[in-house]
Amino acid sequence: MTANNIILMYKGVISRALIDSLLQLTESKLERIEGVKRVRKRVFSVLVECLQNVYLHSPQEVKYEEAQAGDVLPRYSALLVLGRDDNGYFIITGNPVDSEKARWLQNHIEKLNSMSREELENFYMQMMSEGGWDEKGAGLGLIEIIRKSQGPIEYSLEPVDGNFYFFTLKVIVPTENSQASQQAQNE
Amino acid sequence: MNDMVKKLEIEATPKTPMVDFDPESGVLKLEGRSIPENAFQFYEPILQWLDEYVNNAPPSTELVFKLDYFNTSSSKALLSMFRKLEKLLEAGKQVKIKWYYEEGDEDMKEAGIGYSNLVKVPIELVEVPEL
Repeated sequence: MTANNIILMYKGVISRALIDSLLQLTESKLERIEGVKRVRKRVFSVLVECLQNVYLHSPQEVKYEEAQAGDVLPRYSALLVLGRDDNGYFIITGNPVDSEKARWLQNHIEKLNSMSREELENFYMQMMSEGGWDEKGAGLGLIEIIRKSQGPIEYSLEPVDGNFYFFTLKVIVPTENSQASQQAQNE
Repeated sequence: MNDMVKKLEIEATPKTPMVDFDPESGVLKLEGRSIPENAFQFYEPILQWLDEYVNNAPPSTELVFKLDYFNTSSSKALLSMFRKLEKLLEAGKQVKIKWYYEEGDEDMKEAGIGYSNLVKVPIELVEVPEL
């Protein structure tokens, strides 16, 4: 990943207003640089799900709605990188999670990564019609991210002091002519 | 009629759709995009409105669906909405969903097909050059 490949990068606290700004920026950039509607829409959708996951699942310190001047910055910031290379668009997010969440993420992602396209579709439909619906969203975000991208998704969980891990997620959305897209078509 | 619900009108925001539900004509319009962090908060009053609407609905209902994006949080809310409309079928009334999607937006088209496998209300797919 070189500087030339990066379209957008952000590090800091995540608030709803910030998500709005990042999405707006991304949408206007994509309009200019990506001619294929299906790809533009997929990148945007993946970004929505990634950012909202970061927002919903970060510990309280990382997100606040109205920062006041003089507020102490939290120790761990959220991170977002959007770029494009030969494989297509890449979206990287990073945020701290507690150890319980870390365990859940590992199990969930490993499970999803092992599923075939068809199994993923069925699982999505099943979770959508039967799963619970709580304030933290439908629990469908990761499934949707894999469905819309060139799955499997890459992730890492690095321990950072005490009870926390830094969770990094990398998603690739292939462009029409990318190598990844060719591979997917050959499968 | 005294116990009919009132028109439901909600203005669009950058993350939530325009809602224009007319209980007299039976035309229920949902347009824009639906990407709120907490879809439950946004859709709960709409679902409540629908609960009342189906008890006193006109002979025919048409839900006009014109969203360019919806997030996973919204997808469950939408399913709940469509399931509430199923009650109209049980009451012997006509109901259908017109699912608009943009030319080139395969994902939105497939989402419509996906929902048509989950709900009994007929979903008509309508392709347009732009939403």
